[in-house]
Amino acid sequence: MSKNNLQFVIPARRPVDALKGRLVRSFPLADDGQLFRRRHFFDTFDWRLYRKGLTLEEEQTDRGHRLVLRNLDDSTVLRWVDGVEMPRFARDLRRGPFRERLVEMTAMRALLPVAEIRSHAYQLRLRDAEEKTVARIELELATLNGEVQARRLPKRLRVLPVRGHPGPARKLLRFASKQLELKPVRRSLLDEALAAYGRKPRSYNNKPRVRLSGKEPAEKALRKILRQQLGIIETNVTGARQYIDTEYLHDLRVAVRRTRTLLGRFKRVFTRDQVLPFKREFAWLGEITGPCRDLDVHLLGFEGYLANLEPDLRPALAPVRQFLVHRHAKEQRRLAAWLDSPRFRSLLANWRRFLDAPRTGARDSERPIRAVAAERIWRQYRKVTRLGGAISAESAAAKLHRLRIECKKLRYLLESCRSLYPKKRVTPFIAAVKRLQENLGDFHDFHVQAVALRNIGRQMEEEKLAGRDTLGAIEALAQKLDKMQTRSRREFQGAFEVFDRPRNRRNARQLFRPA
Amino acid sequence: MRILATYNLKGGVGKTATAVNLAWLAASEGARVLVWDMDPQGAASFYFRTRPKVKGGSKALLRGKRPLEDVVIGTEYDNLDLLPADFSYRHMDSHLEDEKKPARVILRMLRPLSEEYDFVFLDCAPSISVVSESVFKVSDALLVPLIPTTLSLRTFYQIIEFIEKKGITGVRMLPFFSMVDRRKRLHNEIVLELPMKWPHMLLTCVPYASDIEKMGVNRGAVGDFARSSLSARAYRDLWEEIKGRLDLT
Repeated sequence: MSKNNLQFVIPARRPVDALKGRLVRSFPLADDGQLFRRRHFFDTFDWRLYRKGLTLEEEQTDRGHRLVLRNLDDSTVLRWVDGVEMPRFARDLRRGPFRERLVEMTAMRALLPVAEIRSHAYQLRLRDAEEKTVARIELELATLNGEVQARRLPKRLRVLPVRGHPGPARKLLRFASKQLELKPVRRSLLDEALAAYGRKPRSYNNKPRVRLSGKEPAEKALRKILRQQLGIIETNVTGARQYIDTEYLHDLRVAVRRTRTLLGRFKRVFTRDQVLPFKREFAWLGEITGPCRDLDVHLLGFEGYLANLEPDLRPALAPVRQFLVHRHAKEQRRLAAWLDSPRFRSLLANWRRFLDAPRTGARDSERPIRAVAAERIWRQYRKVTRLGGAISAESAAAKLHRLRIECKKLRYLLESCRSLYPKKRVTPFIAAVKRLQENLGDFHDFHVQAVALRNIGRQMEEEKLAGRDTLGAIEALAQKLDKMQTRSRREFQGAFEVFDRPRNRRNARQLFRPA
Repeated sequence: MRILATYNLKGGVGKTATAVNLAWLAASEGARVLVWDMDPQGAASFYFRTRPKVKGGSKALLRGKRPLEDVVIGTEYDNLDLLPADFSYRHMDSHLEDEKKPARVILRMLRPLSEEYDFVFLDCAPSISVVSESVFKVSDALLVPLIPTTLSLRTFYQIIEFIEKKGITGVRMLPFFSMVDRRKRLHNEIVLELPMKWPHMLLTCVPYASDIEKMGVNRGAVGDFARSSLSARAYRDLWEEIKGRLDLT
């Protein structure tokens, strides 16, 4: 039974009562009356559920209140939980399979309302000799609420099969199509609602997705890539300012770092003088957004901190969480003020103006992007292999830190220009860079976290916010992080060897080495 | 996937009502739940308005000719499915006896369902047999409803003795009182005394209530048709206590 063909559109001119009458005359259906339903659809800002073909709804009826996870296409219920209101985060739900599934898919992202539909549905059931329901039918009249003036959505007839009883559902589907002459729906109820709101699902993507042609002049191509990054920054400002969830600020910062890397690595595509003030301002933006993000990382990883501690030490860490939350609130207020400041607003406005302005006529601006990109990626790749190859067991941590930064830059370059290269070859290469970067990232993060935690401990001690137990727990955790850092340091040589293996080297040569 | 079996050597103690009501509660919390009606009497199938009939019978299931997922059918409730009973289940014992490791056969049958369901409730027949021994071995917990009477306690000790004799260690024994009539002195005495002797005992008592008997008329879970009744509340408490014991809260 095709999942997409379980729903039919009822043309506006055909009264639902008449269709219901024909169904009741043709099948021994039990009439369950009308169900009035208010459905709020939720998803994350980056449409994580929609991308997986799911909808999350808060459903209110006269029978109660429940959260439902459904298939987007055919509306079948995958999971539901009774008597619960939609929390802001999946992690705030009470423990159970519904929560676990939702946390797995939405992680740290907030659940935001995307559509509101009110409907009333005639509900009919086909029953067997035991009076067991073997298939259900719904004739639904839905109205869209919310941002736009309430408006009707196309009426639907929905067949809901019951597992183990394929025959009755098939009969109903055949009847709907042949006798009632209804056409299958082309899009889901949520898609219908979003189209009416003028919203495009999956419209947000934080990955560089610009399609480039190799022959394009480098400056034109770079402007395209940077415009997309600017779009990501602009899109995330409101969420970062309001602290809807942590990922707005994260995505904003990544887009800023990508912008800075591209400006730094694509020298002579723009003129130096024009770019310099922007480089300075984006560095400032990176700086002012840092403290909040650092605290976000601590708070997001707090459960992990607890898991790393002996159970009897865990309660002692509670004041640390409180301290972090308090500090975060303070930093968040500061960040919101920066994001509202004339300096920030004029940076974005000037940057857009610059990206939309005529070409600069710099030395490499007219060269084909393929040649310029290959040259810059190759240079960066060589830098990474040189730095990585020089690291031994005795090397200072600073060397690994520098390699991490260069590795990150290589990844940003590759991701921004990936459309210039065959997918089959560039994707595994990016994956190899990512793996190395992850090892270096772990090494760095464990170090930074241990240092930060010890600093926090000192501050809490000074402010008399931590007792001996808490300070002891902080030190135990920091020591654990030290150990984890040592472990990832040990793993570095292996990770680098994998990155620098002949196959990757050959791939890099063939893809990027200038002729 | 957690496997919970409702079992007692004695019949008419509320095994099926427990399986059906707890399964309904688990489903209403967002879990995907399967009830396997292993009792040839087919009471759970009856509560779910399903004919106790499996094509090919227990032989086809045990020999793998019919995978369990093909036999599963939906109930009136979302996310709550049933593996119906079949009269041939009365021969399940003799079919399993032929196997070297009968518990493995049951596990092999259930394995394909492990991704699909969070909980499987095995509603067992009242007997001590190869089937029940296999159920003890594959289950995470054994929910044992006990009527607070002398005979019922006697069977409870027989179960413990059997499990100890067979050296079965992996299953959590979770007995609880069922069909408790607070008007009876004996009931009240046993409800007080047994948990002292048996500290692992669950503390929730499911009352002797007409709502539970009405499950046969309404053919559904108490929580569905008598949401705020005493018995619905008792099953809710029982489920919370079980989840706590199994570290599921």
